[in-house]
Amino acid sequence: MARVRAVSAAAREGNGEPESAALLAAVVRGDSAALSALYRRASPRLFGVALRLLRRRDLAEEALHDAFLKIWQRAESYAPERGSADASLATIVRNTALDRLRRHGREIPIEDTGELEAMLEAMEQPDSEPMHRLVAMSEGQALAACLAELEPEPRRCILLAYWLGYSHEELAQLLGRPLGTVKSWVRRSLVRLRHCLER
Amino acid sequence: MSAVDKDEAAAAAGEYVLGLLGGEERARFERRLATDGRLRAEVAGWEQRLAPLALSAEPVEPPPHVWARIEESLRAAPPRAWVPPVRSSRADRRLGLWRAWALGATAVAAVLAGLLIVRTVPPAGPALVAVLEDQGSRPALLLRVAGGSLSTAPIAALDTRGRVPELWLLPGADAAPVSLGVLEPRGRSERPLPQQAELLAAGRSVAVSLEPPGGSPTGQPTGPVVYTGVLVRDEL
Repeated sequence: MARVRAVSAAAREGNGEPESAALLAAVVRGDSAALSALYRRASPRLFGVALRLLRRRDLAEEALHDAFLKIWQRAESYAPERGSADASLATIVRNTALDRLRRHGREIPIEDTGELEAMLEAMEQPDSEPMHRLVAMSEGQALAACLAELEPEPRRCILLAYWLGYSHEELAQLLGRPLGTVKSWVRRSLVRLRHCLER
Repeated sequence: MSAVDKDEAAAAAGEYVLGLLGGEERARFERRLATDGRLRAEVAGWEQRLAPLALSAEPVEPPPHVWARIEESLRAAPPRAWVPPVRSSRADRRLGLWRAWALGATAVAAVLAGLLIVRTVPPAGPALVAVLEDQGSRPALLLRVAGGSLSTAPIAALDTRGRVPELWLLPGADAAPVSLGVLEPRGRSERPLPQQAELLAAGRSVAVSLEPPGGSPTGQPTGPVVYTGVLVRDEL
């Protein structure tokens, strides 16, 4: 019952795109109240993105702060035909957090592979919360289906890179695979995803 | 574009968006992005395609002080007016934000300056070029100052959303931005150097903001800054 409720809540969150787009359009017109509303709507998910990448609250707070300054300043360059407003917000936040990760290095390394396994399991089992949330979003369903078509280890590479910001070398080390294998897994998986999402 | 090339571009752009490219590989890819509009579109496509992975993150309520800090930073830092702009000769915090975005683009500038088709008379002083980039670090506009002329050429169509792009020079740490005039958004602009020409020098930052038709009504940027760059000597 709790799971059903959680999924419904996620679905309501996921289908808020028209509101985000309208708020962003108002931000373009210089409406500061709209930015505040956008923050209220989107910041929990966006903070979650930054937290997952940076794994330290203070750094994630800084990244969220910097990202919202960019969102205000860049609002003019958004165009609805270029894509979803929510996706653009998430991209800015993720890129800001990723930049910081590159500059400062990984603050809390995931040394214990047991912890990593547990995190991965939590993340990628079809029955898990993250996958439920992904599928509950209408925009997430095609991606979830296409990810499911990949082999498990290549899929892990994509997800670890996206969610946790791992580099090729870190992936190779974590998965205990040669660097060349990881690189070709990623490239082939990206091509497959691209074709799959085009269907 | 062959199917193989398309796949190669898709894979490279995907790796870039995932954040897997580091150091020299990344720099090399960004140089490709500078001249390849299709690759830029591919990057934008991946950002959108993968975004549900971000949007499905577990929501975590940020603490209240984060929004308070955002408001404070925006209030302290035009050019995008958070409250009605106040004319001020001291603009350090604003310039601090500008400086944070002013990206050095020296190597790229040298390569791309060759793309400018506008002819200028032989220079009296040293010629200067700048490549202005958007906040995604993607090159957007070329600027060249030579032989008494200032010319600009967009790399891709400038997205101005019905407003007017205006070019600004930052003459130095404590000085307010100086307008270099309103630009032609669709094609190349060329005009004689404005009176503030002696302020144009290598190492100084330039930026483009979006203003109401006719340009800024206040003589200072009132709209959002969309592109920034740094002037360098044109060695070509």
